[in-house]
Amino acid sequence: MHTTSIMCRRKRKGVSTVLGTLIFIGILFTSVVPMFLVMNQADTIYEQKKLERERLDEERAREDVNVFVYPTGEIAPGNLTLTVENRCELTVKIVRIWINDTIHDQESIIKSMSPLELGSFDVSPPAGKNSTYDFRVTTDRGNVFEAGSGPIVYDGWDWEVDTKMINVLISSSGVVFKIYVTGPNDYDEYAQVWKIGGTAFKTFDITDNGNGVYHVTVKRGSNIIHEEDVTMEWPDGPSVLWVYA
Amino acid sequence: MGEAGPKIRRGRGVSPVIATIILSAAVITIGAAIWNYAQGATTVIANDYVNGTLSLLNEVIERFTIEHVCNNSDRSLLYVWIYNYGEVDIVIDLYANATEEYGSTLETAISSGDLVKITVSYTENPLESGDEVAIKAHSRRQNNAYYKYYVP
Repeated sequence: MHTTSIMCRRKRKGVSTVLGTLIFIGILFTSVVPMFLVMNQADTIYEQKKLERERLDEERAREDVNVFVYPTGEIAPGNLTLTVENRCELTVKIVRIWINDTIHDQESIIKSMSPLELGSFDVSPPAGKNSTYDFRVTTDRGNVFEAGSGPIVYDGWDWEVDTKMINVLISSSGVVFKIYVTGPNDYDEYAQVWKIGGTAFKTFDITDNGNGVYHVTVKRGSNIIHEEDVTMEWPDGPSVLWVYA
Repeated sequence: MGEAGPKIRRGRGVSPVIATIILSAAVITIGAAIWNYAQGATTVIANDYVNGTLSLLNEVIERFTIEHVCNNSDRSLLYVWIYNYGEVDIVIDLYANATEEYGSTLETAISSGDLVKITVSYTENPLESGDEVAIKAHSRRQNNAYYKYYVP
């Protein structure tokens, strides 16, 4: 009789322990585990978005656009045409064009390594007065690119630029390069350049020499690595010509 | 003495059941309270953590730039265009300091993808040609964009 009583007591004591354990497990699975899952999900979203933003930042840094401005022509003497040349691996979206302090909204997409002509833009320069027009384009990635030829000037009667030039950009392997440029009116120039930071760059000023076809030869040692004819047609074309070797 | 034993035994037979019921009830009551408190506490902790993480995320991913700056003809007003090219809306405080001339415009909201023109007034002490203006756009999430402008 005495033994039975002790056994009964032991069984009843176990009920509370079992209940306590069940409550503890319940708390663990309905409160603590979901909390950690939610926190983990938040961390995952944070890392994912951060990574996406870093990718976009890298794309922004890689954007490379050349901008050229020139008069539209005799049909619209007060108009200017813009050529935007995408020089990077990415598609570039132009969202705005700035002409001095005026905004022209755009929705133009330029494929990788392609040019796109925009405009023409009526700037209506006042006759008989000097006026300067500074062109810049903004991309949706937040970059702003200025016209490579600098501001375009209306001297009261005609359009002018400060300089006409041929830019040679060399990214081929090697360190020292020789560049030869020949053109009309016995134009003959030579330059030796060193590649620093992945590219070598040289500008040839042809402002005083005039329009025509210029022959550009790039040599590494005695080997010709690039030859190209470029035509300066200002004011019927850009005042800056680019040669990529 | 001989009668006292059965009385005690009967008492023991009833009180363990009641004690177990009372103990179980107490365990369930206290357990439920703890469960309820734990759920509330973990919900609050999780919400705080998620809000903190999302707030930090917005701080990390917001992007804006000072796209263009110009001034009016008498140089009493400075116009600053800010482009929000990020994915989140921003609030900007703009400070434009020239030599001995300080201007600011506070709390300009800019939606994602928008370009907003902010005007800074120098009406009491206009800028002069050749002045160098250091412009700082400060977002409420503690990010900055800078621009140096030379008054024409």
